[in-house]
Parts: sequence; C-alpha cells; structure tokens
Amino acid sequence: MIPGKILAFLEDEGTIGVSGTRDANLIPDIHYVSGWSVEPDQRTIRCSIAEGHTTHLLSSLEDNRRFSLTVEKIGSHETYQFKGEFVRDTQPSDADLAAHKRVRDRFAKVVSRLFGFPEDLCRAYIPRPGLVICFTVREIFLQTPGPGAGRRLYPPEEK
Amino acid sequence: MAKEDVPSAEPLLEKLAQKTSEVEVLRRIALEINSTLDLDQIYSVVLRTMDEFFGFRHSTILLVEGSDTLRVVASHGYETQPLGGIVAVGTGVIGTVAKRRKLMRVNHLRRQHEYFSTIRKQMEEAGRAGELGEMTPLPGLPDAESQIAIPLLIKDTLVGVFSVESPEQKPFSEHEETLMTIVANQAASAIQNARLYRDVEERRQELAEAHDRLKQLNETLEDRVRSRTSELEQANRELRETQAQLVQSSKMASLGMLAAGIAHEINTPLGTIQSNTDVERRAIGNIRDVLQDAAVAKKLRDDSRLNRAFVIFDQVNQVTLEAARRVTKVVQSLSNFARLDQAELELVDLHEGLDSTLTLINHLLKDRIEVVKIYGELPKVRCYASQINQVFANLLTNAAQAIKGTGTITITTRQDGPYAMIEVADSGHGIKPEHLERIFDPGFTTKGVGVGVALGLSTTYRIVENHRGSIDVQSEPNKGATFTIRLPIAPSA
Amino acid sequence: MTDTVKLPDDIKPVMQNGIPATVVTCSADGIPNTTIISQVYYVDPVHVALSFQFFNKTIRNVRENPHACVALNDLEGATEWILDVQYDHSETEGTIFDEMDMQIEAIASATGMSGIFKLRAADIYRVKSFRKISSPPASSRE
Repeated sequence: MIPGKILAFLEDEGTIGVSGTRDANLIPDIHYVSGWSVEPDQRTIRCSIAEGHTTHLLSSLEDNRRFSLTVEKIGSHETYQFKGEFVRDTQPSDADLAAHKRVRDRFAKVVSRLFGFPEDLCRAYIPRPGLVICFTVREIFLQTPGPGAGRRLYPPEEK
Repeated sequence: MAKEDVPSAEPLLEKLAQKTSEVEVLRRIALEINSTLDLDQIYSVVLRTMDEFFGFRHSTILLVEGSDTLRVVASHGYETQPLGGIVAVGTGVIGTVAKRRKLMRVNHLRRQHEYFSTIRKQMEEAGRAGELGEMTPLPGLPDAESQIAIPLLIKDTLVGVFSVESPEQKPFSEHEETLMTIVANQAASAIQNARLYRDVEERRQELAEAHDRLKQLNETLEDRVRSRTSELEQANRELRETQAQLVQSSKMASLGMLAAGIAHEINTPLGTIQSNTDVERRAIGNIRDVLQDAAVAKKLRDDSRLNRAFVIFDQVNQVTLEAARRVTKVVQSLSNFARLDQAELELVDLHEGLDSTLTLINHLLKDRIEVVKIYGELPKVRCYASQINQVFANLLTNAAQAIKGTGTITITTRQDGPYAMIEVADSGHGIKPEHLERIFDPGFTTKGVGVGVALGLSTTYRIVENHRGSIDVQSEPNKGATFTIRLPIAPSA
Repeated sequence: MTDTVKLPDDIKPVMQNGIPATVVTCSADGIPNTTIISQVYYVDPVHVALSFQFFNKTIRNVRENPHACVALNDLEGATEWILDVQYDHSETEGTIFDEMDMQIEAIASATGMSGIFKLRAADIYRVKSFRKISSPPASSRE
C-alpha cells in the first residue's frame, strides 16, 4: 500500500516523472512520463509514457516485467522512486489525459517561475501520453538529493 | 573551378578583423598598465577596457590579504560597489579559484545555488542543521548566472583573483575565457610591480622620516644633555643638602643626647664640689671664731703664716666656687642649646639662646674677640629653639672665624613690628661681592673643603625660611659682615 | 537515432546547464533504478562523467552492471538527449576530477555545505549511442 503522504504527493505535488526499464541484456532505458495516477487499490500506478518515448518499452516489460518510476517536485527536489512489476499496458483514458494535464500545468507553472521560460514552452516540454503502463508498486524509495537519498520507505527498512 | 564554388572570404575577413581588433586592444591594455606604477590606474584600465571592448560588464579584482582571505580592491559595473568586500579562501567560486590556483568557468550559477540551497533547507528541516556550515554572503552579483574567475599568479605565488560575472543565461565561451586569461596575466605582473614599488616607496619614506627624526634628535641632544646635566647638578646639590641636614640633625640629636648625658654626669660631682666648698668655708669660719677667743694665745692670732693660710684658703675657695659656678653655667648653656625637651614650637627667649651659644663658643672668642650685646626689648618668639640656636651658633662661629687676630662681634636685637630682629655684625675680613650672591647656596664656601662647614649658612637659611623669616647679609671686603635675621614673633600656621 | 558515438558540440551547453538529469541503471539481478542527478559532465566527444559523492544504488549498480542510460533536459531547446553509456573507470585526480571537484566545492562552500558534498570520484562513462528527441511545437499541442 502506498502511504497516504506519498499518495498526496503524487496527486498534488509531483511535477516531473521519469521511468526506467531494462532489456534482456540488462541494458537500461529511460522513458519520459507525461502523467500518473494511482488506482483505487492504492498500490497500482497508472503511468503515462510520453509520445516518442515508448521505443523498446513493451519488449523490455514483456521480457522481465521490471519497471521503475521516479517522480520529483521541482523546486523542493522532493523525490520518490517506485519500483514494481508491470501488470498491463493500455491506451490513455480521459482520466489519464486529465492527470497528464494536471502534471503538465503544474510543471509549466513551476519551471516558468524558477527558470523564466514562457509557460507555453514549458507545457510543450511534457508530451502527450503515448501509452499507459500499469505497474504494481513493490518498493518505494526516498530519492530526494542529499546524504539520505536511496533510503527505502516502503516496506520500511529493517533496523 | 566555378566562381560559385569559391567559398566567400567575407566571414574569414570578418573574423580576421575581429582578431586583429582584439590583439590591438590587448596590446593597448598591456602598454597602459605597464606604463604606470599606480595601482588604481592599473585596475581602472583593466576593468574599463574589458567592458568597453569585450562587453564584460561586471568585474572585480581581489588581492590576497593575509594567508586566508582576499579583498576586493577594484570593481566595475556594480550598483552597490563591493569594494572592500572579503572572500575567504576556499569559499565560493572566487575562493575556490584562489585555493586551487586554477581558472574556473561556471555557468547556470543560480540554478546550482538553488539546488544546493534546497538540499540545505531539507537537511535543516530534518534536524540535521548541525552538519551544515554557515552561508557566507559573497561580494558580487546576487543573481549571477555565469562567472569566470582567474587566479592572478606570479610564478607560483597567488597575488589575487580576477573575476567576471554576468546575469545573463548566456554562458561565457572558451574564447572569452582566453581573452580574460591574457589580460589577467598581464594584470598580475603590473599589479605586483606596482605593489613592490609602493612598498619600496613606503619604506623609503619611513627611512627618510626616521632620518629626519634622528637629525632633529641629534640637534637637540646637546641641549637636552645640558639641561639634564643642570637638573642632575641641582638634584645633586639638593641631595648633598639633604644629606648634610640628616648628618646635622643626627649630630644635633647626638649632641642633645650627649649634652643631656654630660649635664647629668657633671651636675652630680658639681653639686658635691659646691657643697664641699660651702662646708670648707664654714669650717674655716669656725676656726676663725675659735681664734678670736681670748683664751687662745695671742701668738696664734698674730701668726703670719696662719693668717696667710687663711687668706690663701679664702682666695682658693672663692676660685673653686667661681669655677664651679662657671661649669654650672656651661652645663646649663649646653642643655639650653640642645633643648632636647623642646621638639615642638614653643615660646622662646632668644636672648637666652644667644647667651647659651656664646658660652659654648667661648673658646673661639676668649682673649681675642670682644662681644658687644645690644639687646632690645624682645618678647618671646614662637619657634623651634634647638634649630634657632643652631642658627646662632652658625652665625657667631662664622663671625669669630672671620676675625683674624682681635676684633669685635656685635649682637643687636630689637622688635620690628611683628618681627624679632637679630643682627650679628663682625669686624672680620668681609665677603667679596661675587660671593655675596652665593653665600647661602649649599656647597658654597670660602673656608675650604668640608661638607658640614659648607652647608652651615644654607642650613641657616632654610631654618629661617621654615620659620617664615628672612636672612640677609651686607658686607664689603675688609669691612666685616652683618647678618640680619628677622623672625616672626608669632608665625601663622 | 544517430549511429555515431561522437557527441556533437551542441550537447555541450546542455550538460551542466543546471537542470537535473536522469540516470537509469540496472543491478546484476535485473532491477532497474531510476534516479535524478544534478549534473552530467562533458569529458570529450565519446565520454561523459557523473559525480560520485555518496555510495548509492546507482554506483553499486554500475559496478555490477556497467550499462546506464542518461537523459539530459534542454528546456531552452525543448529537447531531450538520451545517452546510452557504459561505465569505464573512476578518476580521483586529473583534469576532469579537478574540474568537477572545483565546481562542487565552489557551490557547496558558498551554501555552507562543504562537508556534505565532497566528490569522491569522477565516474567516466563511454558513450555508446545517443538520441535527441525534440518536443512538438507548442502550437500543435492541445
């Protein structure tokens, strides 16, 4: 179960997401993320992969089902990594598009403010979803930069 | 080759012109900064030219101060001039360049600062503020996006850092870095030369000032030595006077004790002598009475030897009595002179003091000097009797010693208003005019070497002065000397 | 995708542009790890460097499995650069290490974090391939 605090982060604060897979030869790949939402079971994340970033995605997932999603809040750099197993892929639904729009607008607003770029340009940086990957979260890590980065939050680390 | 295949030379020509212009500017900078030894001028040429020709709008020059700081000595293009600002070696871009002595070109500074600051804030919120150091405000643009900092080196010695900043997001290029490096190297040499020159000048100035001071000291040295010698001589005189006073006081104390002892020792046998003399006289009287008796033979009464014996006895008895009275008088005078029992201001009969003193110095006067006393009506005077007697002893002794052969000492006393006047005049050899001025100076003498003697009149002078009185002298050679003392009869406190 | 392994000059301003980059690595047992890093350093046309400051999963993974994927964000150019790289070696001295170390030291010291951000090594990666993905123009967006 994704803890409530992190659920809230995903819903209201995360500004940019990146996902990673690996192929049969353990070669990693990056797939930009356009948006995300959490399914009602609170452990499955629907992750919208940006158009143009889906190459080799499905073949890697079919090979080993390993998927990781990292979401950052630009500004505070609060960051969480979700590692889990691929469940299914699907075309973006209206809800996925709405989630993408929320993330995109949030991104544009904060980046425009921090870096001085026009909001339109910033919005364009988050492409439309090309594909939605659903994956079950097995582990959640704190990835906020600094000496504590990499600590596993869920399941909690044994002391 | 077709004409259209020949590449256009225009871009190359433009580039060449630009390069030529840059070289010319660099040459001019080098010329200007190496033709002056004025630091401010060097700074100004470097920073102004970098802006005018290369568009580096915000620049600073920092020089090393001590072992771990740099100070901004020149700046250009800042709203708030960072002159005097301090950067610790090892802090920020400039401090790190100074520490490593390597050039550094940094872009997107603001984003990098923001990234680190965010992490810092998270650590503070996570209760890890203790692991953090202080954030030091650094001189320069608060919103700098790009910066190049170049160490100013002379061989391996760090002289300072030259820094250029920009608030634009356009980063500095490698070419711009090259231009700045060339200028920085030239500036380093010029600055070092100017500083060396300034140090030499300051040193030369210090030496010149030291030389002037020394010269002045030498010129005044003689005066100061003379002045100091005079002070020392005066101090020496005062010291000798004090020493003599101490000796004199000691002598007087001893004398007083001695006088008391002598008086006591003499008075007892003296009393016996006087008593026996009286007894003897009465005994002889009895013998005479017996001889008057008719029963005693007439022969005894008319015996000439017996009668002569009576006459001799009477005479001797009288002399003995007279001598005893004289001894008594001397003892009394001595006691009076010492006045041991009178250590405070008392009402004193000055005539008694004069007479006691005359008795004590009688050996100097006897058969040679006639003492004429003209004592007026004098009330008792409030004074220290022993000290005043010392004054009388000094004057009378001097007067006696001034008379060779026979002569006269005249002592006159009278009241003169609130003062008692005592005049001691002698018929001696007198005092030369050139000696009169110094007669009361400690150490001055006409009699020969002798501390006690030489200090007599100076001590006399001081005793009289302490009694708020006065003493003066009148004399001419071979016409004697007259010392006149005036003492207040009832001096104020 | 471009076949050449030589990085073009126009990637240089994107590196060290102050916008965090992404690195995906994979452990020997096949679990991908996606992390966001502050900077990727240009070494030469065939090499990039990542800073090794804390011994974390990324470092552990590339020691086990040298393959990594790096994504650079060029906001100004509305472009992403994806680099497939392979861990080559680590440097604890030399030009690239000094440059990275100086950069980190300069910023960290100004923000009171000298003791925390200390470069342990410059991890050098060889670029196997790269691709440049431009975002569609804003006008074509909804």
